[in-house]
Amino acid sequence: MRRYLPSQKWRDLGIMAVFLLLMWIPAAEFEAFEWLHSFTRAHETWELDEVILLVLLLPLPLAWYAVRRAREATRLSQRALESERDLSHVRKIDSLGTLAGGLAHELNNQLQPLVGLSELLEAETPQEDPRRRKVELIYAGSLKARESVDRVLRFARREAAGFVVHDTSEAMRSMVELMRLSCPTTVQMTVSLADDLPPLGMAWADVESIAMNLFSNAVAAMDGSPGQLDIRLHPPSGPNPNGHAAVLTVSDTGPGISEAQQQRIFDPYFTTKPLGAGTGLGLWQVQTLLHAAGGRIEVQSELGRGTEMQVWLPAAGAGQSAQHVAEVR
Amino acid sequence: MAHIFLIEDDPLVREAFELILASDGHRVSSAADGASGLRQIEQGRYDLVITDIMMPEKDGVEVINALRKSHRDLPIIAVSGGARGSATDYLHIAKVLGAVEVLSKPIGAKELLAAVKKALPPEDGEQR
Ligand SMILES: Nc1ncnc2c1ncn2[C@@H]1O[C@H](COP(=O)(O)OP(=O)(O)O)[C@@H](O)[C@H]1O
Ligand SMILES: [Mg+2]
Repeated sequence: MRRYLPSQKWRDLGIMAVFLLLMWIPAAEFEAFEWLHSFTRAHETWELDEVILLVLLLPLPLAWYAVRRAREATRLSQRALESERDLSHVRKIDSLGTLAGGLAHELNNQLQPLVGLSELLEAETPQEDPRRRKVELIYAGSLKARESVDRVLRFARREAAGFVVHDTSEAMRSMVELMRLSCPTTVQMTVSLADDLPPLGMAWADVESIAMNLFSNAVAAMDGSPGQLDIRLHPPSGPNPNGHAAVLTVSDTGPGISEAQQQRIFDPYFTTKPLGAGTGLGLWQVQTLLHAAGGRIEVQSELGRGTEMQVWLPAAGAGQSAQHVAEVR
Repeated sequence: MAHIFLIEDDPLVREAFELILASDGHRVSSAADGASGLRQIEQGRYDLVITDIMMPEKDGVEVINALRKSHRDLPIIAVSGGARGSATDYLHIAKVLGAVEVLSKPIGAKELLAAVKKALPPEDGEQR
């Protein structure tokens, strides 16, 4: 971000003074005022005095205007700075999530003997045995610990699922079921999924987050009014130089997106939704995930007709076993 | 009861599972990784396989994949320490691949025994 440095301010003031001097010297030299005076006297009927007065007064509103613009620029650059800070915060949480997910997974393993055996021991200890209460407390404590780990894992959920699935069509089918459940009744949803799609070159959690973002945007666009939502997952038709595995298409009959806004919808924090409803990070995240994995997204939209989002999903590369998995990222 | 094969890399977890299963009268054999687990399953006759998902070398997903090809009728229970109840965890994938039951660690003793009972074919449970 460019800042207006104090040294620059003094330099600009200096340049201004030099300018004034340069204009004033010839004006004084050629006695411009004398000339102006006699000119206005000669043409009294033109009301030139008023015009000159106007010109002399002009700097005041001009200065006011300049100050306003400068304030606005400062505010904008401050907002950009804040956004950048927010983003780095998001990233920090991301890596924290990865850490928490790994730790939670380990703890779940370590808790297994505690939870399983204390329950078993409790069942094997008769009520009247003086040791019974001790075993009960160990069991209760281990259940509490399990709950705490659960809470951490829920937070790390997105990271904990950094998996590449082997059956793309099948995985997509179960995701679409989830969408159906959350699709409002006013929206008619149709789905077309090709069978036997190749494995994708990105974590399924990311594919899911992309699809869910597009889905929720489409639902939000139709905003409770009747509409049609189509979801398609098919092999790329036509030339496919980048070897993409599949194309995911989500289209809606919402209000569409204007040409001007189409340029901006992928920008972080660009949202047309009211405060609290939208973050403006959805499509930015979609595009970031796709770019990182070698995919891409295209938008086609017409005002009043609807929007179609097309996502080219990368194929699993040589590094990933076509059979299934990759480790957690 | 049943003869169960257990694949689990963590020795503490493995022994805990063995004790729980034995408490209900099951016979248990075990391996610490997927590859040796698959080899042993080839050589013996088992009623049920319980496998961890995240293991070094051959992991649980590969074990399930292999068993689905070689032993179509052998029921499999998958266990993992990943997120519970999330739509996309490893267990979800295990289920898709054909595990009859998927459980998140840490698993209670009753929960595990109930899952085993459910996974075993009914005649097997009665006869042995
Ligand atoms: N299917 C769509 N129809 C109309 N407008 C859309 C659609 N998808 C996205 N948009 C526009 O793009 C903006 C940015 O979307 P997004 O990045 O997901 O953020 P958010 O949904 O939080 O506003 C939305 O506010 C909306 O104006
Ligand atoms: Mg959105």
